[in-house]
Amino acid sequence: MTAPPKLQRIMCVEDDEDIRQVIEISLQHIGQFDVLLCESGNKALQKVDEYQPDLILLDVMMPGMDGPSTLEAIRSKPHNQGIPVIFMTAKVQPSEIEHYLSLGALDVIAKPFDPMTLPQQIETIWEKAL
Amino acid sequence: MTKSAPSDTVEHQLAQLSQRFIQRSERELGEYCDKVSQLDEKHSNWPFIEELHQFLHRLTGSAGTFGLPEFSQQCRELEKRVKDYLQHADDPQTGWSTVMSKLHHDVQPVLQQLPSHLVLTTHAVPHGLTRADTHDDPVVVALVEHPGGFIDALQEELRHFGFTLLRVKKPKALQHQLDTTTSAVIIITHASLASDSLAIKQHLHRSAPQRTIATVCFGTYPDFDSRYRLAAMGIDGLFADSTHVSDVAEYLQRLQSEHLQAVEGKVLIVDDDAQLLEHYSLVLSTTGIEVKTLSKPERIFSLLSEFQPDILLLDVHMHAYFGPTLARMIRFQPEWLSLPIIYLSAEQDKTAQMKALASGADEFISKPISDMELKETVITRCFRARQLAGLLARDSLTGLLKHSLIKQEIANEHTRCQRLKERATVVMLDIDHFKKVNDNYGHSTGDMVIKALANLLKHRLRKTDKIGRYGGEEFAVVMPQCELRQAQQILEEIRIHFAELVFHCAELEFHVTLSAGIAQLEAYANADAALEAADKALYERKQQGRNGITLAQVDAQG
Repeated sequence: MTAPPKLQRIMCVEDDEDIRQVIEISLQHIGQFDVLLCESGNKALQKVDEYQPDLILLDVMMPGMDGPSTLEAIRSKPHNQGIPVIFMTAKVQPSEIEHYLSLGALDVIAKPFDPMTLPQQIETIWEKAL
Repeated sequence: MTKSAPSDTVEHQLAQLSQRFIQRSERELGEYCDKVSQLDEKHSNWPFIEELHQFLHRLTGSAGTFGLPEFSQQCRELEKRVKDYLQHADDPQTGWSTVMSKLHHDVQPVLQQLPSHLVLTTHAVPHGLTRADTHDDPVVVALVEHPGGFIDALQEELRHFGFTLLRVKKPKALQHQLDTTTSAVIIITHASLASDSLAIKQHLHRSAPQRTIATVCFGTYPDFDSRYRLAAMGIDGLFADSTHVSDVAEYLQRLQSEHLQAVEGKVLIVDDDAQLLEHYSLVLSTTGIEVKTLSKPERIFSLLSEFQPDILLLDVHMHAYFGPTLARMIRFQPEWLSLPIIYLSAEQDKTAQMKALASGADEFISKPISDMELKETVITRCFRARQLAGLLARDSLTGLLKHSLIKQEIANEHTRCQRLKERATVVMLDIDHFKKVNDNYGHSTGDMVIKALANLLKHRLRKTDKIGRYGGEEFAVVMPQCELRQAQQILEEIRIHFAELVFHCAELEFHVTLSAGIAQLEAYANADAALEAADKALYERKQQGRNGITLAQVDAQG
């Protein structure tokens, strides 16, 4: 049995600039991950091939292309189908969680999140999924 | 030597972002308010309503992360309302006039007053940063209704103890309410609803695994089999519905400190490999444990005194020193006899390990140690060390510091204030006419009154404040970084709450009051003088009529 791959590169798609910065501080400084921030679903589509993230953190409600559409667009390319995605949203009704999971997301992180424990939360999800 | 974790800068950066978020939100709320006032009944503008909804949704999601949970909650309520308006878009014209009037009457006033909620209070800096230092407890106690009145009584009295309460009709309703916060939660429910509550707990864990949720049940005290079943289901506590409320409050507090709070502790690591030390600090920096490292053992004694660690991690083979010899040397000094010492070593030989342990250490951890193992080891050892030290230091009835220890804390704080030019206050507190309580209602009721006040103090004071049971019904408190007026305000709140508590003895109900004297600690030559001044102020208060607070005159110092 081989050791599970280590989570290193995270792409984060979030339209709110303030929240992007909190995520950057949290994931880079506390979590020690390599992070690429995208302000929209379109940007994420442009960058995903080049960056090759281990994981994508995806906001659900964004103007223009929302989270689920972004996920669909990313997954439409066969070589990107294996990239795990975690949704972030302030809406966490159980039915919605089920819905997001059915779209192929690994898990859903509720907003507001705690920047001090966000990396741990992501790692827990990552480890559980592998 | 220093904690190499970047958390100071991280905290600083996050605090700056919070400030920026506040400024931006203030500006944007003003802009949206203007836009709403400019809407008119003739020209429908549904895209704007959609935009307003998105804006409020964004604020709801962000505000909690920036340490403004209350503001987030207010935005969420408004967001829901605006979302409902969007349904009228199917009927563009008549729908618009209905929505218009609602926007002007219901939404605009809320938008106008929302900026006043954009205040970072002491406990509302970015979530998770000040857990060890909050004034109020972030833990929410959720009460699930059940006929029988027990919940009514609990709600009434738990409020006095300062818990943040949430009351719901059914466990299902809880789910929705709890989704809006990130606080730790204790769910109190009738035993018959245990499984529903546990399902909610699982749901919440799924969306936020870090969140701590405890489920406590009450009921007529069931038989062994039923209790076993409840335990197997995974509930965290069980009490009879005849249990006195102050005992429930005490139980909740214990649960809170044992399970629901961030790990606290201090560890000193001594190793001559600077790089390894750097790594250990970094790994431990995410645990909430405070770390100091030392690569030159010559400084160990000054560092031990200064830092007062809960545990010591010691390398066995260092360049010029041998760990077991250092351990023996540390044990020469009585004050370090109870400090847990753990060896970190690549030594695999069992005999050598046993020999090393014989020189006064408690445990052996073999290197290389994985990051996970290191974290686990340090957290559990720190927790246990604190728990044991706490038991030894605390008064058995109240769980507060014993007389000699609170005096020591006051003296330490006095020294600290002088060194750092900081301010602190010391408070002497006494239950009024306590002898009458004992005479009229008996000693066990008297004990209950003392416990209730102790609970109230623990709850209402800041985590950084130290509280001790000074004598029978007398308490002493030291409040670091606190001015007289501020202390007076906090104590005044406690005094009022205490006077409101209803005590029961058989069929009788009664109230008890307290008096307090407060002195500015650093204004006196030493801690004893400050304590004496606070005691004198307390005496004056008793002379002038009880149930009040008197401030010591600083110019009266000796």
